[in-house]
Amino acid sequence: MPMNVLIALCSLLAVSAIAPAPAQTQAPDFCWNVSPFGNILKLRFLAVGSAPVRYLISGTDDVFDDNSIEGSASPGVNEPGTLRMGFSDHNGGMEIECNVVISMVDGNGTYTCWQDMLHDSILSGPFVLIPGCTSVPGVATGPDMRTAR
Amino acid sequence: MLKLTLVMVCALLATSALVSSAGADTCWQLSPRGNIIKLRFLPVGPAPIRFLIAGVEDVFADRAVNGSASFGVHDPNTLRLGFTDYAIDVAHTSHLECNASVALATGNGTWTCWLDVMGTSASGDFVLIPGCVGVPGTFTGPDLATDR
Repeated sequence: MPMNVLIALCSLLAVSAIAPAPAQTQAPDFCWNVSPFGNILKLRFLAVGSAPVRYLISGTDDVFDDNSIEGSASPGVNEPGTLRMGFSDHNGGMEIECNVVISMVDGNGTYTCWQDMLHDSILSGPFVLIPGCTSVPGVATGPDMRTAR
Repeated sequence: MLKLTLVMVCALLATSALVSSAGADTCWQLSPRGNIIKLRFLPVGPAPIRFLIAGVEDVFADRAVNGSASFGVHDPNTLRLGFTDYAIDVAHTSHLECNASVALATGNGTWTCWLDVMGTSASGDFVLIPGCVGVPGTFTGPDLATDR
């Protein structure tokens, strides 16, 4: 992982747990691949208040389509050293809800996503940080998790 | 604009028992369940003020909560909250959606939470917990995510 990405991530995630963060601090996008699917989630974190900081998430999932993401994140209490995210990926008629936990050390973690009421729809796997996130969709490395079940 | 917004927000919050300090967690228990949700409010725009909610529900596990809040029009002197608790009920493959209404005078109110489509809603007293802290807290009842 490039040092600048690591520093940015740490400054956003780790430091906030021990030092008051300025209200409404906005950071650039952080990107994760929902492995083994091809979706890349670009999430932006808005800090709300001081330690223990809470974040509002505004993001997009735009490799296959332009989907909006909204949710929140907080440092783990039951799992110290982690960041816990919850968000909704809004795609017409196929909203996906996700729970994610990542390590503050390397930014990687695991995800669980589901579609309400569809009992065979729970997906999970590695949540892989992609350093150097840009605004372009990115290259799909697998199928769309909305349709590949 | 910003100054005006801040003045209005401060005036609103100062007259309520909801927020002990701006940007800090305000905690409620979903009585009689043991869940304690810690919500933080981000004011958005001028009057009538709306709030975005960033929160956590971490007594039983680390669960993210997000939503919004507005002052009541039909029920004056209340704050109306709507939020999602990303605590998946694996058996039903659903998460919790909640409505809450609290009195600005006391910070207490009522809540209703449900799983999408299932009709397995629950409700009770939304009890303000003064002196909210960052630790999970002591639960005094079962987990709403699994006990309905």
